[in-house]
Amino acid sequence: MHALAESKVDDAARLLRQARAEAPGNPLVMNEMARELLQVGNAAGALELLETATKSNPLEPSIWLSKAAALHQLNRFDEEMAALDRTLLLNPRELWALLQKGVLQEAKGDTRGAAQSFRNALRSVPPGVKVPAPMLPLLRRAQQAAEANNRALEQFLETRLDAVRKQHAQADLDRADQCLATLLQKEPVYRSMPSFLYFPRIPAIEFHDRSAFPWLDDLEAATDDIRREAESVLAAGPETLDPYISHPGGNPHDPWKHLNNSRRWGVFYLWNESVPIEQNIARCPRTAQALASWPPWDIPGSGPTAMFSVLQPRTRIPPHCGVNNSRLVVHLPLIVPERCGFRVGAQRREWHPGKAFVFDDTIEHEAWNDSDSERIVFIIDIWNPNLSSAERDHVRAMTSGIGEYYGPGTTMRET
Amino acid sequence: MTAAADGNRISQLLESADRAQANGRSSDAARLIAEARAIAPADSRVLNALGLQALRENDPTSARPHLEQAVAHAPREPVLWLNLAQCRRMQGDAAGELGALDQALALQPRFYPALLQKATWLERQGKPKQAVHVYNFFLHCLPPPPQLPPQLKPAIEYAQRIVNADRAALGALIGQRLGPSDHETARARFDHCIDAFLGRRRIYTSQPTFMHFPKLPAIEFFERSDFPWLDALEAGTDVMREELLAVLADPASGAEIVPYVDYPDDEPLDHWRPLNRSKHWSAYYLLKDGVRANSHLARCPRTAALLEAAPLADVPGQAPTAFFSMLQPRTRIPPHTGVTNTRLVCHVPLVIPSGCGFRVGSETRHWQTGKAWVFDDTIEHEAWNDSNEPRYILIIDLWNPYLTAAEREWVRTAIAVIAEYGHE
Repeated sequence: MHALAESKVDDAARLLRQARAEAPGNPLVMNEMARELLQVGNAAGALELLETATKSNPLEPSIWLSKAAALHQLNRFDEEMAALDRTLLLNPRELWALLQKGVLQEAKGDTRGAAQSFRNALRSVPPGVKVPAPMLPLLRRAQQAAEANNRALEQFLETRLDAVRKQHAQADLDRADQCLATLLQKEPVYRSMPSFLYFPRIPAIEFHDRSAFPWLDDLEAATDDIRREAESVLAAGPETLDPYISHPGGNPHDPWKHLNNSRRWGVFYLWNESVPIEQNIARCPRTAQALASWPPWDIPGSGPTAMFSVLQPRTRIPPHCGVNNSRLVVHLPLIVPERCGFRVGAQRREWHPGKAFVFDDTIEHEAWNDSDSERIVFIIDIWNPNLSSAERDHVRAMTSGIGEYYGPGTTMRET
Repeated sequence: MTAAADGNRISQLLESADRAQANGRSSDAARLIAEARAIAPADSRVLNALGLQALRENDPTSARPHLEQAVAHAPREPVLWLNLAQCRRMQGDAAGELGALDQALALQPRFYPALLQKATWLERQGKPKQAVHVYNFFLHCLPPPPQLPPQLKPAIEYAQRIVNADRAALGALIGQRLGPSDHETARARFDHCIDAFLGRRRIYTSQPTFMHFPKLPAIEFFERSDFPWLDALEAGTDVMREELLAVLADPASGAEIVPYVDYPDDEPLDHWRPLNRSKHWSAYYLLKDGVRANSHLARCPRTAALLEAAPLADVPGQAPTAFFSMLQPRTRIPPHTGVTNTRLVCHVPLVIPSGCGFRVGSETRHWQTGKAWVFDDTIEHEAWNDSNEPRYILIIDLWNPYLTAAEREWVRTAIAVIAEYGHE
């Protein structure tokens, strides 16, 4: 590999020598020669060549960019700026020119102009693309400038937005706060990404408003009974629990590897994908009773699931997305040690025993128990209230149809 | 020779053997492989080459011990397991073939040649529906087209046929269960859901270039019934068209009609370059960025009165914009997304030649004179006029109705203050 790369460099040098011999007046050849002069610090010589080259080919951005570099070495910054603008006119995504323009604007005290150039520079780097190493320091500087600009903008906005908040003191402006956080690039935008079925035109809401689910009052009121039943089930020993994650293993990059077929995340099912587990329900009569007011996400073969979820000490559930955004998930925390946490999208919540919450598990979420004792949460599936009852019927018919068509075991898995 | 030198020598010999084989010089290839074998008989690459050589000669029985030794020496190389699977397949050893394929896929779950073979294995075993899943996954794991070996083309086409046929069958089954869609409102989102599941429609999200307001549904075209006041605007279609045509007929209007796309050349917006400062897509503004174009409003008084009564989006210095949009013959507006999903855009078609169209996300519609629609312009959209006549519509900004009054006030302030700051 290495030898090959070197031989390519040799080839390039040989071709360049040949080009010089055959076409010394070719503007691209002159550009290469000028770059070599720049490397040895001969900016004046380089500029002379580049003046000629830009005259004979004024449409080649790389020549204008070299000219800007020569003018920079000669401290002729206004002319450098003009050369950079010519470069960008010909290629608006020329990363080096965008970055260098920002640097010059910054030096002149034009911080907002610099922020704009830096933002354009950052936008012209597609995600996942590696930037050549020499550009990295400038790119970091651009990121810092964009960051500083965001902080300045935040301060600028603060007073004026506070006035709106005071004026609408009774209104819920959580969405607006989140809007601002993403605008200022403090948080990424998270979307619903179901691994199995995407129901369109549903808003992606991390945590739903608790007041939309008044029947949760009954469930919360039964927390002590439910916890006692969970504890007595667990007292029977670890074999009582099933590993929540169970799939064919062997993939070294599987994020679930450490939880696969493991009771570090163990569950005790009362309902498992629509099937009531009668012997388990019999062991938890008060819990079953507390579910009387529960409107389950009922799809034959798929849901609901109702389970005690037991996360062992020092165990983390990796970020993942659920299967189907027609479903929401309810957590009723039963036993919550310190240093446990839960994140959905950009929002974190702590579990508080007896305080239920409802979230959309198709938005990336993760959970952790960094304590030295077990965490137990009661989890049940419900319908997303954004679906009409006709839509629920349709989803039910479709999902069970898909299950029947493909047969058991081929449908849904969390990712 | 050192071990490293041996290693290099073997690589060279095997590469030369591959080249010889590719050029049809089988006996040269065999000689080179034999030479490598003499140096390192237990090297997994040598064993693999010997195995493949035997497979080429249609002799899986001789190949098998070589390939089994190869995986024993290098059990973490998926390609060695794949070759062993191929050998076992030729021997008719279905269980052994599956075992080797599963080893390859456990090491590299997206190893597409092994996925392809596993899909065909499932098909041969009479498990067509499981095969579909693997064919589908195989298609998703393929590298981009330039890196695809050309000999794979028939297999890819076959996999696509199988997956499409399966989706059609599943679609038919679901259709049977649900009965025909009458495309009423209750069914619209669900039909979209099925189409996305069956791969007939792509899922598009809202991608604002400037401000993303969270927890709003991404709706391509809104329900017309959500905007009852549009009745009045639609009823004014003839009046507005008349006023626009009068403006266009006046030679003095030329300078008042401006390119819609107009940005400095150094902005990284090159997809707009063909339309930048071009009258192929031009505007006659009635309101621009929240400012009234008084002389234009005076020339189109009845349009002005209709706009006066419409609940337009209002952000000081930024919105609303209301304009007649003129798309010249044979002109296409490239796919793009708008600035913020707090705003929606409404079209009132005035003059529509045939051969025009408009796509938002996964839905394509055709303008009909006098029929307004409202869409979310932060979902990728594009427009075209493939006719020989110009296309004229009225475009106005509306608030997204999913914002509360307090949120609107917040957005109004935030956008105005950001503009003042000079952020965008």
